[in-house]
Amino acid sequence: MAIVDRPREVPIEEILSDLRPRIQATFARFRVPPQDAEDVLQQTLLTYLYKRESIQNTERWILGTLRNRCLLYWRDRRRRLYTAVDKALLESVAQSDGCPQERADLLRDLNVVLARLPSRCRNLLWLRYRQGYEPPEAARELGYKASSIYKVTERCLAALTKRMVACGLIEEGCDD
Amino acid sequence: MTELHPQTERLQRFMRGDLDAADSQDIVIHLLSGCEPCRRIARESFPCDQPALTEGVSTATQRWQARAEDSYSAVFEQVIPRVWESEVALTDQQAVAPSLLEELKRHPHQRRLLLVRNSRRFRSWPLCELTIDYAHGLVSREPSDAVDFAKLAIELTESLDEIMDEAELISDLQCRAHAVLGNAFRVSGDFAQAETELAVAAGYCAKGTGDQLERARLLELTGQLAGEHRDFSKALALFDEAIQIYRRHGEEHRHGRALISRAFHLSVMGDLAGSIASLKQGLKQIDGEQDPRLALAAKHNLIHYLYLTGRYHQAMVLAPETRALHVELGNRMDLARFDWLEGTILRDSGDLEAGEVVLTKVKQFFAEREIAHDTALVSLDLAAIYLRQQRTHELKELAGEMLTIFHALRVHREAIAALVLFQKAVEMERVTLGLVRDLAAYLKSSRHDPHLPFRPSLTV
Repeated sequence: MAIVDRPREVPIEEILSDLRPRIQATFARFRVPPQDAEDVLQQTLLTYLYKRESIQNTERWILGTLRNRCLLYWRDRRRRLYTAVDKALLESVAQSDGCPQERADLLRDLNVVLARLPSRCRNLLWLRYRQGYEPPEAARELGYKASSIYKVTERCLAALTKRMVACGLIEEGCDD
Repeated sequence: MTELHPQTERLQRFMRGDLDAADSQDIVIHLLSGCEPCRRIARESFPCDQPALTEGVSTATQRWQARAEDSYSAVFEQVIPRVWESEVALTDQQAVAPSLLEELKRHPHQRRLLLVRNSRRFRSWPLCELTIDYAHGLVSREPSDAVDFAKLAIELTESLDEIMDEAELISDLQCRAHAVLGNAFRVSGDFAQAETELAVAAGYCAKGTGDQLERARLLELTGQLAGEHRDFSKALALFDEAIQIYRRHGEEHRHGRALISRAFHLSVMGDLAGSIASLKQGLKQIDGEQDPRLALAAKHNLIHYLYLTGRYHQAMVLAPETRALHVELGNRMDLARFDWLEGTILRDSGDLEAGEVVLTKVKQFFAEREIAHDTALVSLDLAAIYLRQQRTHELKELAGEMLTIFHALRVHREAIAALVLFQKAVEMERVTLGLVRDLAAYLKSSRHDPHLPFRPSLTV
């Protein structure tokens, strides 16, 4: 049953009984783990509850907001993953200083992955992991603006992670 | 290749961003080494959204969906009772919010601020929302009161964290309150303050829930300010973005409202055809009962633009319903301006007699209220009729009247000089329609620039 233009006093349970299958399908489509889906759903419904006086189309608002929140959920997760990959690589390179064989293996494997990245990412990550450049130094070296280097670095880390598992992860932008 | 495979559960947690760097090191090294079974597990732990992905991943997604759909049922059982509790609390607050606002309205601004700072009973979401709406509603009638109430709303939002934990939601409301304050400053003519407040609102929007409707509202108000700065391409881009959001969310009324704002800015840029199209579309979308003033402004402007593009018949067809709405809303000044528009359409469509009757009444209306510029402008519209009918005597009388009014109301010197020039031309019977148009254009511009000299395009 369509719930467009419902009276605003309709209890939340009733609204959900109509939308439940589509909410579940949204979670499944975005593959949000059930334990995290709870938070996403609760935040969406609370926001709806507080703002329902000004929402004309309940169904579209709830489903649109839920979809948006699922995207934000994965954006946050992706950032955490990229940060973990980046820090793990920096630490691994630093720790392998005293062990030439280990260092050689790590850099060889890293080279294989970097070789398959777009050149600008390859250059930036090479400076970062091989030469120990911080983002502002890499920006100067490669001619990027200081204000955009963190965004560029994040995109390159995304490309690296993607290549590392050889899969197309959900991306907001492309690398090249 | 590192032979020791990480446990599947750890690998999955790593891919979901749940492991820190120290815990991730061995996994990163292992994945880099190219272990295909572990890479597959990693891929399957992270959603892919492109249909062109490998077959294996598509199958993984399908498997996930089949597995997870049932477990989502339990999510509802957990969430519904919590949301229901909030609903009950909110309903209680909603019941008393209108009387709290009425109570606040009875006090002067400083006292109101003091009350909301010191009394917990004013800490409520519905009261904040109501105050923001009230402030927004005051903008066109009493901009300075709108500023005061928007400031009050900001004060109210700042104490919300004492009664609720949802910081993102509070940020949304702070965004709305600052945006309304910015808009009130804009209407008051304080563009610098407006800019500052809208920037603050944008900051709160970024920290908020990500609610797209909240963002669209901010985009609309920022678009209005860009229009005041004559940055029309920026204004249009902002309106277009807001329009897309409203369309996607099925918010028909707001969609229509944004289209009407867009139409106004298109008209200022000279795109009357685009403006007419946008207005027609906007009028279909808005709920006239919810906002009759918006409907009226849109219809009035549509008639004006149709007239300016020479579509007199279409303009006149829309006139009766627009007049009825003007009468219903009861703003005498707006109705006089509509009469003026109708009079000029009648005149230019060839019905000089009917046009003269209407324009004479309008001239009388402005003269009685001592509104010199509009009296002069509507007189020039009448002058065009007299000129076409070669009624030199009436033309001379009209020129004299205009000058008398300008002298009496001490209108600026340059405008009086322009009218003297016009009067001389009338006396010498050398007035042309071109001179009448030049003088009308000059009077419109000189309203905002009293030192502007009159330079007619033809030598009189």
